[in-house]
Amino acid sequence: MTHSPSGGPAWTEDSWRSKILQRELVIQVESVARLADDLQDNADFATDTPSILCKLIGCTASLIAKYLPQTPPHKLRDVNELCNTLSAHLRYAERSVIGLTPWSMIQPAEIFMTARAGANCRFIIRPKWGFNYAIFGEFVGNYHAMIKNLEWIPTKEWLDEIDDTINLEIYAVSFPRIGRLNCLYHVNWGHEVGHILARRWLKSNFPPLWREKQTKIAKALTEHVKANPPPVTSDILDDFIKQTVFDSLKTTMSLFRHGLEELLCDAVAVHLFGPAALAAACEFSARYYPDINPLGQSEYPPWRYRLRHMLDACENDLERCEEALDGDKKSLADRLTPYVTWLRDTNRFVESDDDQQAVDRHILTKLAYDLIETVWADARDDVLRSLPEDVSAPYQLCDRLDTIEELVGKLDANIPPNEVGSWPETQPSLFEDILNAGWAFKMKVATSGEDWGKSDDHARLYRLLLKSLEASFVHEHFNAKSPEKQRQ
Amino acid sequence: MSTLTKSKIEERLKDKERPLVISPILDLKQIGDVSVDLRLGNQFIVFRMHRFGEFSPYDQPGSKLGGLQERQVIRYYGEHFVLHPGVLVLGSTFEYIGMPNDLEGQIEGRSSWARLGLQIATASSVEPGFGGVLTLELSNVGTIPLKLHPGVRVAQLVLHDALPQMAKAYKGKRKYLCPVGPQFSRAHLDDDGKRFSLALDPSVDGIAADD
Repeated sequence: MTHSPSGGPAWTEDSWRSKILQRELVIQVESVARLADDLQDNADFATDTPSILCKLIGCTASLIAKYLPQTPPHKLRDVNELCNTLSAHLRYAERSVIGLTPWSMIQPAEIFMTARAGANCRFIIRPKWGFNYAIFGEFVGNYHAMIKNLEWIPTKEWLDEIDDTINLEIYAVSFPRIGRLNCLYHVNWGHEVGHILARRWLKSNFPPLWREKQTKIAKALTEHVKANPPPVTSDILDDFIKQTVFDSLKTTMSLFRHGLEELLCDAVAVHLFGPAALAAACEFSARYYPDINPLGQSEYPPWRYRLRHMLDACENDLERCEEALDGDKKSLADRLTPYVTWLRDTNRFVESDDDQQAVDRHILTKLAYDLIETVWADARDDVLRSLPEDVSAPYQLCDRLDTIEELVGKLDANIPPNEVGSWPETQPSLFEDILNAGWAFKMKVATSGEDWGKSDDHARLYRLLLKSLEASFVHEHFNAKSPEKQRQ
Repeated sequence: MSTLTKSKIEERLKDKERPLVISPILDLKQIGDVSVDLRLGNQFIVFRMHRFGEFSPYDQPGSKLGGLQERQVIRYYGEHFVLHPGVLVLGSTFEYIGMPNDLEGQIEGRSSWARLGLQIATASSVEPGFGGVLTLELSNVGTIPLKLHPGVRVAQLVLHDALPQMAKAYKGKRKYLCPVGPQFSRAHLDDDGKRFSLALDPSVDGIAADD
């Protein structure tokens, strides 16, 4: 501490730096609020959701700015963290502008996801440069919790400002920017919706589940460590074993939870999109080694392991498809057999147990994945049961074969597959049907030996599919009367 | 060349062998006595007038030129696009058209919009075998800005027999294949640019200078 030469309050490092920080935070939070307002007012978004997030960020930043003078100096760094978080979250809205998204499918995709995740859920769909799919959020609940922690800001004032938004759950779902138009890959959004359902289930079910299992796991770990004693002196061996078991228990729990969550998400994807989810996972995973131990890939299950579970979920459907395609209808077989055959080939891929060997090679992953297998069926059934009743039935390709064949026929003729039936008895195609038809068409032309596969070929397919997603959406939502009613 | 009347249009929409595709038709009222009303799509191409002082359609590759000259604008169904007087923008029909090989179409404006100053097409022929949405050259020749709502009926397609039927209509390397939104000009793909814009340069094949 240094005494002030003027005889005023003593100079301290903390108070000196706090004053600097407070001055800087005024500029920073006001900038965040202004940027959020600008974005909300001026950007072209496909749906209201990015604007709602902007409003939420703007309101929160404005309130922080208003109460900055009352902020205790020792809390300024917390405010700084929050401010950084808010400004970083603006990128979700900023990147969801129409020009950066597959805009034709954003409205129908958000409606599709909301209908599955819950009526209060909203989605920002935005690209990222990394080649992967992900979900971030939930934002409203996170901000609410953060504001409650800033006790000098009246939470009620924040709630009044954001109004009905408090009732929403807002998520940001991302897709690879360089694959923007590849709506066939965007089937992976089914997996991302799965994260919401899986996390709800895990939140209430995982703690008791883990409590029930952890004694047994701790015992197994202790035995393992004792059987493989570390090279330490005997006086610290017991403590060392205890510490190792404690650390390993934490890692096993994380592997168990994370692995289970990913597999549940895959199950949701298959439930929502049927074989198209498996097709997307097969193609997406081809760029990675299939048998990496979860400890070597951020606790994700090996791809072969995941595909095996996905195949299990739709194997019966594919078998029934195969039987139906053996029938007399030649056009059905011509158009859909390549898709089904290609998916059935996944069987050959998952025959190998290299993934299981990779998992078993490490005691922690072995214990975690043994646990997953014991709880898997119940967990999956619980999560799928949590879907709203009108989408509780899984998507079954075998029940949609005639429709999919008709839609593939349209793609054969370079017509968007946005409706089924003969005019004037047409109905808008289902979101899931369009994507399954897209996959079926792609597999038909890609495996036929035809000269298909150049960028232009893909681009034309994506154009037709995106147009059909848009047209079926407009058909469903803006069609004043069905043809039957019009005729009456 | 005869114009298709309502019953014939409906017949061709139902035809399994040589179908006329207009998809989707949201309202049966769209089919008039001698035409089918078409709706405005939600993509627009606006010109970046501030970027260049002049524009020759022949002097640069189309893709780059398109990016420099125009900008895509999307207005969602339920929103609107304001077309100011004297401005040309490219729009498209909402409906995807699949023309059979024995029909030809003419796209025209609807009189109720024309009376407000909206012109929708100048290159109005739709060739047999064409598949795609139709690009509309939208301009407001009135004096007040027009609010255009994607989804409203702004155009009509008049259909004619194109006989004898062509075996390979609209196939091969066409300039506009399966478009799902308005297409920027691809005039640079025409031979004319090379032949006429550089005609006096003796080093360029084309119309030789008179010697």
